[in-house]
Amino acid sequence: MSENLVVGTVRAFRNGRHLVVGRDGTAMDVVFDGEGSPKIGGDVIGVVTRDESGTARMTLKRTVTEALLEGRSRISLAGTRADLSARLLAKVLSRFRTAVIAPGSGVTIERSPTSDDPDLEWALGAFRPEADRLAVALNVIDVQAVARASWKPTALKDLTLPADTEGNGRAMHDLARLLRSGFHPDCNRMIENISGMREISVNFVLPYSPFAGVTGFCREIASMDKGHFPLPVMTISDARRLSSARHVALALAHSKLGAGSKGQADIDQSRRAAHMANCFADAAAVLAFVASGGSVRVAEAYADLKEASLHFGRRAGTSELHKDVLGEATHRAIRAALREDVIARATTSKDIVAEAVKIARRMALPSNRFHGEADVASEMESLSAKSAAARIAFNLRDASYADVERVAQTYREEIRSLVELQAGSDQAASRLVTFGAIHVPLRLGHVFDEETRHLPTAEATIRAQATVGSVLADKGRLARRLRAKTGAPDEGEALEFGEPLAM
Amino acid sequence: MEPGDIRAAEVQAAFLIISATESKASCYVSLPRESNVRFDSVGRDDQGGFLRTDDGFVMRLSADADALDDLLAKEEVVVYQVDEDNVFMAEYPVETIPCEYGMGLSA
Repeated sequence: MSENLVVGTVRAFRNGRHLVVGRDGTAMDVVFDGEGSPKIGGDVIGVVTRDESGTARMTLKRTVTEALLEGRSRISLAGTRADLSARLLAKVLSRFRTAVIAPGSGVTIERSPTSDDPDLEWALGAFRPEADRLAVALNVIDVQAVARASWKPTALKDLTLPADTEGNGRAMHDLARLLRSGFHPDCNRMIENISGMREISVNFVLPYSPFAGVTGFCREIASMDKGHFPLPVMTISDARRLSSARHVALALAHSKLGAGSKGQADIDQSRRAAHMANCFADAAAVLAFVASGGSVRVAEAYADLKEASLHFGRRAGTSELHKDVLGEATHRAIRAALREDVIARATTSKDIVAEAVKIARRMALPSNRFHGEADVASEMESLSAKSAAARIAFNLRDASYADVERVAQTYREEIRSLVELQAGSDQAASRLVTFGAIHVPLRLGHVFDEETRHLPTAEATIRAQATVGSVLADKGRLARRLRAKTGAPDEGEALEFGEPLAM
Repeated sequence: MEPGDIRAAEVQAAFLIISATESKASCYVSLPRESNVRFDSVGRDDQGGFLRTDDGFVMRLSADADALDDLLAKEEVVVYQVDEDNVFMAEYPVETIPCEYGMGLSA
């Protein structure tokens, strides 16, 4: 059904319909949808659709911007101060709903209410209703589009973010750091002090790393060293869904874990608060995963990976854990979410989030576990983590050649799948060569090299890009662009004065 | 400022929202509260994008060329004016001038 955005004035009421005259003078009889209708003489902005009987139905919008942002749009900063423009943009976008953002051509942002990436769209679909209800505007970055876009790790300041409301470039700095480190997934928040009130909002969500695959995802979750190969049977799509759902859910944590119904929780204020937010996000992610038909075995393996992090995440020679390992150990919450009665209750977005809140409050480790300089796992936890590690990891260091070859076959298939997924773009393929290498396990480097040998490297991709000089030398480019955008006839079709008419 | 006085200033904070499907676009621009500027056209000349009042006062937009192409191909552009605290001040449609060369605004 085609839609048309109309800006005009209500001129009359006749035959049960309002006559709306647009600014260009076109008139149409419409029926207003929704509550109430404007008075005669009032200006209106609305989206007009035709129903089965051909009647024009207008849904009123507050502003043209509201209507524009309901569909796919392109945002371009147009001021001399990018920081002030980004701040203004963030203020405007914070009043609108969840969207996926991606770099467009030049210094522009493509914004869309939905994503073409099926795994990301699934995660958004799982939590969008609740985010809309809580008025949390999630700016989720389309990582596939960023992977395909032109940017150099050394010049990331050219990329523009719509949510840097702090105006000091912190969000941009954080995003640049995450992209340079191979698209490390993250949920970036900010706190703004407005009239003595602390207002927490989401700068951006980087949902998953497109170059990590299953191996990289599992190694990251379990804090696994390169000498181990993760064994969980999950697909690249499963890994992406779990990661996306976790980080989108994490963006709701400050709204759901506050004291009281309207209070916000500053979940970055302490290690315990961050741990509780992680418990909430992981519980919500597995509930959403299982509710949409995902395998319970995969979700259980996710819990094992989290538990194994208490084994792999120890500092060498001590019982102390590396930074953030205990805070990320959410296996108790994940297993609580996988109880049959909880799964049965968590069917809608609202129910999933409500169950996850209860689980996080009940299963998060107590505050006294986070008091010391460094976190430690208890003896019982260490034993249990060791056995979880044995279930989900294969020791490559001590393995025989034949066993390593068997694992290498699994790894080769995964890298082939990743190469296929990035095959459409030289930029993305060259980044797979660069960032995929971060996750290559010990004794399997040859597999990665063999499978990515034919892909372009980052240096080759940069060399192939057009230089500024070559673009400027093309004098007819602007004229051609204008003709293309405005639908003006091509040079060949244009009729010039003095040209003899064909008889 | 006298009528016909052509001056150019740069807009510090502005952004464009260009719909991929609709024939409309919006231009948010931040100006000091006391400026009392109201634009009547958005366009491009040999120095790039601009917003212009009916008495010739020009403010430069530093949008990239491709975004300006898309903006100026739209049937209707609505300007949203906010003050330096991002408080909304005015909303109005402006005329689009896709390409205006040889004005010599800098002269």
